[in-house]
Amino acid sequence: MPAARVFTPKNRLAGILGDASDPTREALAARAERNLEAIKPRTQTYLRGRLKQIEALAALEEDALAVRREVMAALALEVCETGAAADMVMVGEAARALYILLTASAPWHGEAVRLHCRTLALLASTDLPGAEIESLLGRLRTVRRHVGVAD
Amino acid sequence: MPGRRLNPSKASILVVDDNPQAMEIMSQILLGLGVSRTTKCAGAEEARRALVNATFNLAIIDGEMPDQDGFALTSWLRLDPMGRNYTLPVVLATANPSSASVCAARDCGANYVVAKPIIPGVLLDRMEWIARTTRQFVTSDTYRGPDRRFQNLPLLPGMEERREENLRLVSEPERALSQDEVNSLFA
Repeated sequence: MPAARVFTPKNRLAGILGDASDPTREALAARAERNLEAIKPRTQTYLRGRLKQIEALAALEEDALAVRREVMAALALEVCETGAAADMVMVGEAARALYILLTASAPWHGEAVRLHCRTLALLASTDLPGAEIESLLGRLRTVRRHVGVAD
Repeated sequence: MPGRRLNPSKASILVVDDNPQAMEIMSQILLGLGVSRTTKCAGAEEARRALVNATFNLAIIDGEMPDQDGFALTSWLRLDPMGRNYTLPVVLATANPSSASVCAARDCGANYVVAKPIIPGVLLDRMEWIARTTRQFVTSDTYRGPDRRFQNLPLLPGMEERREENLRLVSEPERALSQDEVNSLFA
């Protein structure tokens, strides 16, 4: 049996460890957070554009929607990847739920997809209390389980 | 441990992401962290060219990309032991951090997984951790990447012992994990 080779490579990030003249990690993180805050309006515009596209797909006839499953999954993923950076954490979570449903190796369930889309649209347009959002996401999880998609 | 000082300004970082807004978010984070040398690639093919032509200090790779995903790109990076970036630290960023995808990330040779969108403090913590840790690298027929026996080392200050909990996490492969849970599977 061939032996594994185990070695210690040069630490490529060792150079980032600073000294007294360098900023603290808290200062660096705060500066990055400010940068994110500055682009938040752009991120929100981007997200709303993607949500509109999802809404338009959800309005299609069953067959047309099923054919565009991958397109919708890609849009849901984009919302999921950026939601929290636009202060739309729960929209991102609902998009993640839709992405999981659309990419699972389970039979197509158009009604389950539409229910996820409606919830996504609701969360994007309404400021619901946290408990209600949790309950909605919990119900979506139950729907997914019923159509054979594990979370 | 507050007050630690860092200077990522000289680090050369490769960012691979097909989502333009996610790329913008990452660029702004790195700019804020003081990183001045960022190479941006919108897909795996472009990233492969960059990895052949330049040496990086860190790669931040999107887990979910349409043509070749971040897991496959990381596996490709670990193929050639003579490659200039063979041991490059890789942070896989995923929008779907289930324990199944975290385990897949470990198996393809990634150093860490972070949930998207990345929180600046979380990314900085991962970078600092890599910078402060001497971690061995394994080349074998079945695995190429950071030594996963890392778990046998003493825990770093501030880290909690969660090994028993890890067994529970991997028994639920589809559930989305929190960033803390993701970290515990890599620590």
